Amino acid sequence: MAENNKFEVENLDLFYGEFQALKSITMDIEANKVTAFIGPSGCGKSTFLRTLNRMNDLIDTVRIDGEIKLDGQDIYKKDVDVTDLRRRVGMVFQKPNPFPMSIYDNVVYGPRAQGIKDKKKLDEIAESSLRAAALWDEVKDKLNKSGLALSGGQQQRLCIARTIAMKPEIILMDEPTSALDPIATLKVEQLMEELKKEYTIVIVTHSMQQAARISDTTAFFLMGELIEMGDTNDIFSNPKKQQTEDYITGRFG
Amino acid sequence: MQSANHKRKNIIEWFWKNLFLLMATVSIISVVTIGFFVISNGVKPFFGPSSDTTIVYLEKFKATDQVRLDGELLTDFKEAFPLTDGEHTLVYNTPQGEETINITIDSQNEDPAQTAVFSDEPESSKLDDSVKYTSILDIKGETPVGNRKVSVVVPEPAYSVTDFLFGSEWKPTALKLYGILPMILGTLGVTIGALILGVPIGILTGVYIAELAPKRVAQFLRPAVELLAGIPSVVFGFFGLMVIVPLIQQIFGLASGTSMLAAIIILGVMILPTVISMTETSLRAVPNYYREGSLALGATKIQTIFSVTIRAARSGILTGVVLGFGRAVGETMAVILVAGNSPQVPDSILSSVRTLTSTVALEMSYASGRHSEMLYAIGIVLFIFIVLLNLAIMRLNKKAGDH
Amino acid sequence: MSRKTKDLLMKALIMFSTIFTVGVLVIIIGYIFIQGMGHLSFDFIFGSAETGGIWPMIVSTMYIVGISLAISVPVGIMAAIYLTEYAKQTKFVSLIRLATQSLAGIPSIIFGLFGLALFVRAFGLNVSILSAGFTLAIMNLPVIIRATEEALKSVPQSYREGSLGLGATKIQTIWKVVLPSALPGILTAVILAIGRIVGESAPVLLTAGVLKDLPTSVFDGGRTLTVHLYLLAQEAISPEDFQIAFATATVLIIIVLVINLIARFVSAKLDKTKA
Repeated sequence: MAENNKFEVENLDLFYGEFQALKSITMDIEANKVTAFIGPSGCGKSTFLRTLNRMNDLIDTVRIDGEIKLDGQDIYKKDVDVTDLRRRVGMVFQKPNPFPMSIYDNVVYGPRAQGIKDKKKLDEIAESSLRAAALWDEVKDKLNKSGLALSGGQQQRLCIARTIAMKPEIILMDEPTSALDPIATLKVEQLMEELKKEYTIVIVTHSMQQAARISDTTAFFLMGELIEMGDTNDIFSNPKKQQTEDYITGRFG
Repeated sequence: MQSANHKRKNIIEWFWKNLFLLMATVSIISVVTIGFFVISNGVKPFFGPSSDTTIVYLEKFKATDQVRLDGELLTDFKEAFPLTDGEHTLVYNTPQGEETINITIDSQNEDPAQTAVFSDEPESSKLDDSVKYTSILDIKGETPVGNRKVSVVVPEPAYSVTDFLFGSEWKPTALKLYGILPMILGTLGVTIGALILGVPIGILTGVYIAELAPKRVAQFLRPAVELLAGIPSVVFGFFGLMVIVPLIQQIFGLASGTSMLAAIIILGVMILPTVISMTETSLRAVPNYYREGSLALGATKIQTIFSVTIRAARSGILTGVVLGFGRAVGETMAVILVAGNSPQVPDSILSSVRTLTSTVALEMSYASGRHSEMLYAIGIVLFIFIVLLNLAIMRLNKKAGDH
Repeated sequence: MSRKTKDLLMKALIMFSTIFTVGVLVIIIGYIFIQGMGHLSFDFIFGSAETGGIWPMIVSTMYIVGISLAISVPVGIMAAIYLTEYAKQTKFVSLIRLATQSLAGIPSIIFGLFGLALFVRAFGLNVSILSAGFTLAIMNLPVIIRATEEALKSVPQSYREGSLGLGATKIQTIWKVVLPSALPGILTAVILAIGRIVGESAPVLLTAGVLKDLPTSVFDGGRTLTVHLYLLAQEAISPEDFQIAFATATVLIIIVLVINLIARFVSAKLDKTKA
């Protein structure tokens, strides 16, 4: 079991100045599975997600206690190269955020930042990533067009392609479909089905239906605490904690 | 009672509203009036001769002198007397005795030297033809400085716009040549040089304040930049004259350090605040999700700034650059003090250079007639420069809107 | 080159640029202060030009500041009130905005040419303090308009609604509620405008001239501090002249410093009242 864990989190506390946003979170995230974080807004699920690739470093007032291990290595240790960590742990955001540059330049942004200059190699990466993100057929004739000219759903798949291009081990998704219409959402969800064969996916979602549809494991957060975590079917059909049941039934009923 | 009060209130509302409207139109009125006065003065040289007829001026004649022009006794010597083409006689009676000179006017003659010809001039006088379109008879007076002068000024023909814009000689007083090519090139050279120096430094400083500086440092830097913007341009010029100019003179072993390089350095510093604050503002306006997106892809902070953030802010930064360009083109006094101001096409960065604005400020105080109108014409050229720049800004903003 | 080296290089360039900018500011101010402070004295500030003093220039400068503010402040504020409180999105309004924007972009020397043609010659005011004051009033108009617009826009809509809801007319609301809340912002702009007028030189040279006598009325010509410094720099021969020039530059910088400090103070007050 332990060998199959990608992330091992132990007693994680997170403070925004005086405010404690996460309270002693302990969880394991399995490889090649889709793990979903659910909970009411402000419960800390996005904050927790952002500790996994240290995006919270960007906020000056954030302080963290506890341990997060990726493949057994503490990612908050002093000698960890944050950029390398973020390359291994990719992230897709709530709002599609393609850069103001061409589709091609967006996709190869990460590899280029790593110093890859070979045009042929970059072309290969671009094509394979766009194919993996199921976007290739739609954009192959307009790779030089601005990424901002795509539709919302396409933009989000472009952001996923951009993340895949770095060959990450894990993809973190922060409510990736909340800004999309139902059809675009469906496409992104189908894409996740494909992606989980190769990657470990952690997704924060506001929609319990989505969590139920796509995830293998679900974790329920409330007021900065991890209330319950387990097999998705169990959580939704047979929750062990009262708060989980209240939340789920409150939403479904 | 109620309705009278209501009516009074309505009148008051109407009054203020229209007063406000009137004040708002002052901008339009000002722009139109400025345009009218600068353009109406500035286009004159290109649409007709500088005057309708040839004119005679008398200088330093005394009240006791008697002067007859074509037999008519002149009373007020300060007046200008118009002359038709043909033969004229001028008789003057001074304490030295009576003299008669003939003046032949042929204002249409191709050769400017032949447009006004004096004949039978007395020995006590000499003819001065050094000023084009003007013939001056210098009559020896009782004292060495008491020379009386008779100036015959024939109309200058309409000046060609091409000669104005592309003529390389600016000799407005003696030769009546009004070529502003040296000044156009001077302005462009100095401005572009200032941009090359000031833009990278300005952008990088803006990047530091907006993206890297700790809050405290940024809070100290911002007022410092404002202060730099507030220093009067004459003070910049004076500093340049006292420090930069001697430095250039020493380093390059020149006779004089006033040069294009000195002007570039001073202007480069003067455009810094504009570029810095526009860069800072537009970087701050870049949504954080661009930075997060890039960092999440494993880019470093610096890579993120240079490949995503600056790119997302580019229209604002470019606007800052264009505004800096405008400031540099329009700057006058600081440049005059350090640039040397000789109206020649500069052949190196160390040669003396003169800008369009400098020419106006340097010569307006003594220019008259066509020379003065030509300075207004320079104003039109500056105007066109600025309009083109503003169009560029508008296009940039439109382009930014497309994204 | 590795990523790390590149990053370090760019960081070094950024730091260099920032230090350059601050360094230039410190060197200019420091140099002029060191050279000029020693010559500052009561006699220098309040003496006539013949005795090497700058009192006439201070008076001329103050006259010009006063005249141009007396015109541009009321006109600018009222124009801004029209634009923010009354104007709808019509072609005419965008024309006004375009005109204001263009006015802001015109090089100062063109204002000089214009002032010379209109006020000095056409209106027959000659080269005088009045001509310069009028010219600079127009030049400053866009600054006042824009700042007032910003200040008015930052007044919360609820203030207006509250006043109108109490039965006040629109104009009463503007005078009694909107304008007072926008006042600190407008005041900051006016203070900064003073700095701009004091620092202006090219248009003043053309419209107010170089006469260094104490002006007895606004119809006299007058030499401002900036023009004085310009002419001294152009014509200085004796060490005495340079001392006067440095001291004049020091006075100009002190004025700018004081104006910036006051503006900061006022806008800090503004932030406090808002929070």
